[in-house]
Amino acid sequence: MNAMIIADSLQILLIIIAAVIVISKDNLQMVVFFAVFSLVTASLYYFNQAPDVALAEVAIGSAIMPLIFIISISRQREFIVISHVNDEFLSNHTYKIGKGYELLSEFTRHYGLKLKIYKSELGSLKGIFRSRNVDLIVEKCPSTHRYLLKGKESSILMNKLEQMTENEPLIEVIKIREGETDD
Amino acid sequence: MIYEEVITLKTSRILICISRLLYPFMLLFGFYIIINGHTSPGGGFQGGAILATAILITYFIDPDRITNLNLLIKIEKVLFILILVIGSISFFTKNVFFTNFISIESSTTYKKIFLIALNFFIGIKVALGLVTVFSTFIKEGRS
Repeated sequence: MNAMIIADSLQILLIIIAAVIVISKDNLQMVVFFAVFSLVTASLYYFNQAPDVALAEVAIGSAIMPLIFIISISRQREFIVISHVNDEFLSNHTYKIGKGYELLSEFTRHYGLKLKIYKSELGSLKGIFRSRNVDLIVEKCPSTHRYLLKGKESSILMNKLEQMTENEPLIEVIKIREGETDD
Repeated sequence: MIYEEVITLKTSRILICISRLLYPFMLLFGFYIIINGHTSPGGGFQGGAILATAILITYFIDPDRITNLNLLIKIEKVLFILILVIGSISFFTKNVFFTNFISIESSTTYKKIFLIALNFFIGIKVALGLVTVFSTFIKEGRS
């Protein structure tokens, strides 16, 4: 009888947590509630005479899945820039901050992202999906000496970047269709 | 801001300390579940998942610890063949595939060897597989 009451209250708790997961806007909060959901589910499995399934649920649902979610969330907050420019346009030394670096850091601060600039020669890119992961490629046009910022057309961030660089004569934003950013 | 919390989560000293403390006990618990899988709840898969969690916790302690992913995949493949071989031994003793290779008349002390061996190899295979999937996920896009 006592176990029945506990199981019933756990089921009600489960419904409440599921509703909270659906409603919540904050990703990190959602992940924590997801782990709690798995714990409650595991205890329900135990009450229904399935300790085997409960063990698997605890190990996978409340440990591995939240870890995967947290890592992908922290990955989402990076803005990766590949630079093919050799002058001080993107330099971030304390005594001479480049114009492009200033612009991009202001842009990323506006969205709460973390700016990461990789300097690259061709062939030094490693990793499985490296070339598809780039948000922006910076190049210098050899004929007109303007800086070209290449980004994906599908990204909403590019519109904002285009707005910000409207008044800069030296900077041009180019939107590329999906699949052409593999450099 | 929230994103700063996510980033400092990896370098928090408290988390590293707790992970170091927890790591051997999680390994022990995983192996306990695997080896007692034939008499108590749990078994190869559940224990393997717990082992994988224990190994993944070392990413908090030292992110560059697991370097050779190809070796892990190779060991996993070898274990898969080994599981099939253990299952097929019964063909030589009983003329049937995928049953216990020890005869029915012998006592349970000997008969459970089959279950323990299968559970053990399945557990290690599951742990290696989850670690491989997770490590590729972490390293994707990083040099």
